[in-house]
Amino acid sequence: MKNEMHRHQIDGVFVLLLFTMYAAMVLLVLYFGVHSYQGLVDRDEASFEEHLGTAYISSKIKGADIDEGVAVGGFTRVDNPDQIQTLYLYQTIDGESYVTRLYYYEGYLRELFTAGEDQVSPGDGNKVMEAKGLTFHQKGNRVEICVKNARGEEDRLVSMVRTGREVTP
Amino acid sequence: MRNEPSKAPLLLMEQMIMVLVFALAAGICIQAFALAEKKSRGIQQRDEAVCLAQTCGEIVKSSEGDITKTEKALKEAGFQVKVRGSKIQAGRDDSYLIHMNIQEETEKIGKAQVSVENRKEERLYGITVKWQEDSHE
Repeated sequence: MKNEMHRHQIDGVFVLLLFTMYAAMVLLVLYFGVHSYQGLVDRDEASFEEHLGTAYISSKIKGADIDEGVAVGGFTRVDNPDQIQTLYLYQTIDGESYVTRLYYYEGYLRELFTAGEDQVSPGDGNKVMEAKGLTFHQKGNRVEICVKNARGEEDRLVSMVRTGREVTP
Repeated sequence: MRNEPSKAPLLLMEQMIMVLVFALAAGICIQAFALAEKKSRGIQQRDEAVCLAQTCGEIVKSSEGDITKTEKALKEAGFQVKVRGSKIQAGRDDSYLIHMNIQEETEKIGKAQVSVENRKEERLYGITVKWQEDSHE
């Protein structure tokens, strides 16, 4: 009788042990799943952010690809390089000339749309995205864009200005 | 006192089946996680490859397929360049290798195949760029 009671107790312990193991494994697989999913989301986000700035500026250049519509210069004046490298995109609306400036200032890639080259301050621009730096190099019909994103990763892209290369009949 | 049979063996058997089913499900889940991880890495590599192909394509196009001009422009953009005839190989680091094969499609149209490989020499992305040969500066 005593032996049988002892055997029943051991059986119960086995069941409990197995259940504990099961619960631990469920938690482990859940943890693994969450960790893996988090990793995927982080990587996708980083990859998206890495190319976001260059893709944005490149599409702006393509959109403003008119004769002498793209230039690189300083913030105050296009022909006066200063500490804020600025991409100028010129356009004419109803006979009036307008300019869009793209530049980096105080932790943000900024965009400023003004009539002509009015006197404006860098802080006036709209914040497009967080960044750590932005440089432009224009050589001939090529503009090299280099954006350092908020994570400190650099992304470079070369964009070609096509205007002025039309075939003459 | 009546001698009732223990229910523990039955419970044990039920739990063992439960553990077996769980092990099967966990195995499938882990496989799915591994596949998702592989796909995500592949997509990240392809994103990089698209950017590199776009940059090199624009450079070839702006140089109108001139090998010397293209080589110079690629070097200015921070690429290490090797030229073999009309084929150009470029790379910024060891991760990706870009192949550019410049051809003449017709008398007036130039063409270049730009493809990007990873370090395992797997082709990640490729584009064809074309330009008008007699456009003026």
